[in-house]
Amino acid sequence: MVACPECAAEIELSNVEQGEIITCPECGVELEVLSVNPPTLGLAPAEGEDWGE
Amino acid sequence: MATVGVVCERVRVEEKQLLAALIDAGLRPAPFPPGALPLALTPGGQALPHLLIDRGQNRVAAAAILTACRAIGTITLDAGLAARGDRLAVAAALAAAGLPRPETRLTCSATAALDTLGRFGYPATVLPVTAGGEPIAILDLDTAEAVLEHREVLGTSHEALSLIQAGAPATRWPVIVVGGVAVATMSGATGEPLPALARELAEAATVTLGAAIVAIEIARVDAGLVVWDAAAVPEFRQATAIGSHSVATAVAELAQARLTAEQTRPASEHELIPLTTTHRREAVTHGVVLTA
Repeated sequence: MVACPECAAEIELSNVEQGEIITCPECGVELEVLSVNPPTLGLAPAEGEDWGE
Repeated sequence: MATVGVVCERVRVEEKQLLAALIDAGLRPAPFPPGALPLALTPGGQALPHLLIDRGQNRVAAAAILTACRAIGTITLDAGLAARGDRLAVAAALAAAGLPRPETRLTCSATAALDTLGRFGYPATVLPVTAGGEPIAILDLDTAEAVLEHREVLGTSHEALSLIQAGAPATRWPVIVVGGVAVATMSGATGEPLPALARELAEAATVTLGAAIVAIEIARVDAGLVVWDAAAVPEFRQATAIGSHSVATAVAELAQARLTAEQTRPASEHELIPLTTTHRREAVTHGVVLTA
């Protein structure tokens, strides 16, 4: 189990690969699997132009 | 039981805390995602919560929802000008109120921005005028040229606009103010505790913006403390309470107080304001601020 960095919901990771994008079942945010062992999630990079920000 | 809508696209940690505090305060809260509801612009056009709290991550959608809901009589708790205006309106209002501010210029082209940065010296900070855009610390001329030309060439006319503030201070404190009272802060980057003057400046800025809930960023520059920026929807999961109340509890108590005040208001004051009138009023307000 790993906590969603957005809403802190506990998410069970199974059959995922590093770099995979998943959706938090509780808050709906897109998350990137940063690491499988240990399981680590981060917010998925936003799509689109960042205008240098 | 009074209903409260929390305007948000997603229920994050902050919104969870807020929903729990509202329930504890005896209210009936629910998320109010802007994308879920076509909004009738007539009073009674749909069942709306008695009160809305702005936690919208999409600032364009949240500002539209707040403006429309206020116009049809819903009470809103938001960051006032920081919620419904842009950074230019906020900066101009704070300066017009006489609050200490960093030296600031509005530029409408990369050329003007580079000229301003050259005058200010490096580092300086480019703040996108569009609300919610992340400030960009500019450390040298090469970075400035890359960032500003990129924004101007690839962006819309909005990206060509920038507010440039002198300096990129390391010591900054976001101060979360609820109902005019500073309730929480984050430690500055240097870990320096919040000075009393910073708290006073944040509360004064909140009054200027007409904000019920807002984060005011106070920074230390060579000249002293300044009001650096304002954030309409502050994160507070790691905030340190200044008093005995958490941010969520303070917001819930403010919501309860506003609803109680509304219930005890004389019936003659409950007339709804047509949308067009409100728009005109806000347009006038913005005009005064921007030309001050």
